Amino acid sequence: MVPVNEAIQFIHLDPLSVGFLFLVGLIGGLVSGFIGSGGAFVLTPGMMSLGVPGTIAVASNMCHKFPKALVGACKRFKYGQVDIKLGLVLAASAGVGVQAGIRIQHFILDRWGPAGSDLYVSLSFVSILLVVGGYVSRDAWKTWKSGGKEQVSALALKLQKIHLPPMIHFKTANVRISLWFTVPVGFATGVLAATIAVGGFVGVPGMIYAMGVSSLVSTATELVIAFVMGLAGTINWAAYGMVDIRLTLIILAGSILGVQLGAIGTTYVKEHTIKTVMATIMLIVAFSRALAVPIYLHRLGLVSLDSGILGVLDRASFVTMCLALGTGAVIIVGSMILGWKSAHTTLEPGYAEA
Amino acid sequence: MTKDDPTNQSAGKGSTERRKILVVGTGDAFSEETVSYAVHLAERLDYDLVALSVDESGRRGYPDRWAAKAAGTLKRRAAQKGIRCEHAVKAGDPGWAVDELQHEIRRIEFVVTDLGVNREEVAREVGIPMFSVISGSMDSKGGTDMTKEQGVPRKRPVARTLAYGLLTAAMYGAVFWNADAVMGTFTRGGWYAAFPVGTVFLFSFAHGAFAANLWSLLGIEARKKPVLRETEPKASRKKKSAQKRPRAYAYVNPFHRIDKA
Repeated sequence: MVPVNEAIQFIHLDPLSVGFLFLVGLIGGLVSGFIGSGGAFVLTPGMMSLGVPGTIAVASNMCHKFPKALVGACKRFKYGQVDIKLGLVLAASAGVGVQAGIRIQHFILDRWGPAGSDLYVSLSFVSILLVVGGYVSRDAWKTWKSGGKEQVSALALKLQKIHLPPMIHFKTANVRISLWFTVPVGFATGVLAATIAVGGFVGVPGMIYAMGVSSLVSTATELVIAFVMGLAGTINWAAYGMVDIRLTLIILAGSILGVQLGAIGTTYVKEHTIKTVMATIMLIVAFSRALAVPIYLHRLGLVSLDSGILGVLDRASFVTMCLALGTGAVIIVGSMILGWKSAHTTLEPGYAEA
Repeated sequence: MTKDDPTNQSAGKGSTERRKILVVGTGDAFSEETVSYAVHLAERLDYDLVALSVDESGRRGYPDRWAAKAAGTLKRRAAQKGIRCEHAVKAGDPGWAVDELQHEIRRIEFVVTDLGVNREEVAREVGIPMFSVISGSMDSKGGTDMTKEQGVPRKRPVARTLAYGLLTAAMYGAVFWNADAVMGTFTRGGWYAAFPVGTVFLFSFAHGAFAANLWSLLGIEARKKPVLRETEPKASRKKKSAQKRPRAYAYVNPFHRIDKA
């Protein structure tokens, strides 16, 4: 453990990198307060670009994730949006998913080396986010066109009708469903969390479309899952001495401010806005990871590319990733302002003019 | 006679029509007591508000402008609580005006009359419960009005923001001042994992409280009534003992003689 110790202690923090981490923490917090997850996909590569070793970046990011999720979950619990029981049930199966995800990663790492592992991560990012993000955006579009009224998906209605004991009643989510149908959602969340560090990209759509939970409650409940998994992950990493508490605290300074703002934001917007933000971020992130695929193909010797092009692709991929987060934040703040305005103008003159 | 076209309601038609409290006043503006009382009552009962300004003289030149001014405070305070409030202006006798408005707007279930409104005059025409605000914050027995709002406008949490802000800053200072020692201890692994985990819990408490107070200090607060529960009927558990079983009855007629049959 000594080399890791020393490596951590020599990470240099200048004002610029502190500012960068704070800002990304703030925006990432805002997004995750709103859609339940986000930020990690920019923070980890962001820290690595500052010269932080990969494992330490992952560990420090995870250590900031669970207190942030805790604060966000508490805030949204106050608004009556969190289903703690659902969160804990899903977190349990997500724990199994994480273990499975780690096994798969190890297997690929042994077989094809680091570049193969990176390629696998990127391809999972692209394929899953394209499919799920595409579906969510289509649904958001449909909801928006039909006047903002969220419909429970046909799949969820069908699954809710199947009586397969044990049946569980989730009070806040207002859903009664068999435990067996929650397991795949939790498991997939865990596998994805272990693979691309953002389990919520599958967990939240899973809750919405497979279980019939509203997007407001599912994004809030995702914070409970993130807290449980983040805490377990952090204990694991910290036991190996991998957490750089300075990095964690700098990010936390921004993200706790952001997560509360995001949580407040959910009370001002229509439900399809949450889906729109989620879908937009997913699709831009998918594009960003697609840009990085040629780099790993090059490293594996499957294609050969000029080093200049590789550099450009690498940078473009990172910039697009930041763009994803930024776009999400802009939509959130924008719709919050609109919601705030309409709450204060339509209510004031009464419904005669509303 | 002018009104803000209350019949042209876009929300709450048919069976979903919301229940309303009618607030009647005759002055240029509703009194503070009436505004507090009505807003608080509507908030507690989850009713909408309808303000009615009655122009008893019937000679006002600019009823529109008067209408906009008269219920300004009431509307603003109702909006702060997320309560819908509309306003109508009628000229003439208050009792007659209330009666007429009841035909135009459905589901008016209470009437609250402002200071200065002739209670008997209204009561003659109106068949629904009526409350009259008759004095200031103290009633005739010296007690305060139970439904009067407390602490409006709300105090901004300046002291708490400052206190938690200083606590958070001190905690950050403590960690970064002794960064080398902290890093040395926190990265030792094993049971020392409790240090980073415990530290972030403490920070999330202090900084979380600071952030919450800061946003509220800046006026950024959650909307009071998020439309959360309006969705579908409850997916509740089936009660096991609820079903009644059909019982078999044997009816015995003591006067019936079997041997005769």
